[in-house]
Amino acid sequence: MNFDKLYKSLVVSGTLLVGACATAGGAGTTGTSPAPDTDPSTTQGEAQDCRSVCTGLGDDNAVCPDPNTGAENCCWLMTQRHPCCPAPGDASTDPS
Amino acid sequence: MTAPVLSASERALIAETWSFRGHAERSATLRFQRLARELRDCGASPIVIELAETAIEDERRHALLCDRVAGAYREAGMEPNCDVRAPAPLGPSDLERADRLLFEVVAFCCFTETLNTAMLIETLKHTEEREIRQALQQILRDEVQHSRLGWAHLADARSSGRGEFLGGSLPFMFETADVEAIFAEDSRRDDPRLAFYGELSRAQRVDIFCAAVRDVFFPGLEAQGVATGVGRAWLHRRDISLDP
Repeated sequence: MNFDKLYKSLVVSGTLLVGACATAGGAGTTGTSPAPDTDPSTTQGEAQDCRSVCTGLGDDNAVCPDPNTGAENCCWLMTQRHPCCPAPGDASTDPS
Repeated sequence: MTAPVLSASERALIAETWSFRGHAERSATLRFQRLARELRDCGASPIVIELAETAIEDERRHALLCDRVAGAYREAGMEPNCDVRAPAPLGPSDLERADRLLFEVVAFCCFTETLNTAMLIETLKHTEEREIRQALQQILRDEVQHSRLGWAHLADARSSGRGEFLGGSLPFMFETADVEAIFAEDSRRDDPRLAFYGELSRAQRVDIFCAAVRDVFFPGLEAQGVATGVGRAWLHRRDISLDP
């Protein structure tokens, strides 16, 4: 069992809400790192090539940049979905 | 998969799980009401205050969901336990107000809500009963935001130099969260048939706790410069190993 993706969904995304930053490495990481590029204008461009910005698109566990935070996030956890995410109902609720 | 047929005692067990959750959700509603007010008073980040205010309604809605599931499994005539007292502040009383609030937000959101999220994620992997699955999904989506609220507030506090005390207070946090109850011997939910209905065995609960603390909670604190050595030592003294 491994919750590294959950770390990104909770800690990194939460931290970015207040404009601070946290490492995105998950377990065993310490210190801080620069915040990911959260420029929303990149989202449309990224949609042109989903496979370069998302992982797991072929299964139920797609991970894409969260439009609200810029951090990697599970599609099903996003309040506003990235354009590359599967439509609601297509994706699984299994993010780990 | 065909739904396993449940005995009366197994149905009561499921009802107990959801009654417990309903009670916890009601308590969380009251806690978030106070937290939202205190966060406002302490000048917390607007997004943190907004998330706390949203959480009040989330928890209220969750309680109703839990009641509905519990009601479907318990014997007729039993009512949900609505006798919920407003939870007292969690932080050590010798802390100044803002630090006591920070402790509670970290304890309740960064720790408890993160743990809840991990438990729900793993529970959903096995749950097939439709109504229970839907309830779990709805609760999970909100718990994610409640956890993020905590990490946001912690990051905000650390950026202004607050919260270094948190590392030393992890034992107190674990004790007030009754961590040892997770490890208590209770085999009533160990029958794999109950997984269809969203029940976790003791071994699963322990594994999820360890993975969530190892992969999310401790690294999240460390990323904000909060030392976790004292917390790790507290777990070690209780023979709780975080190793996979």
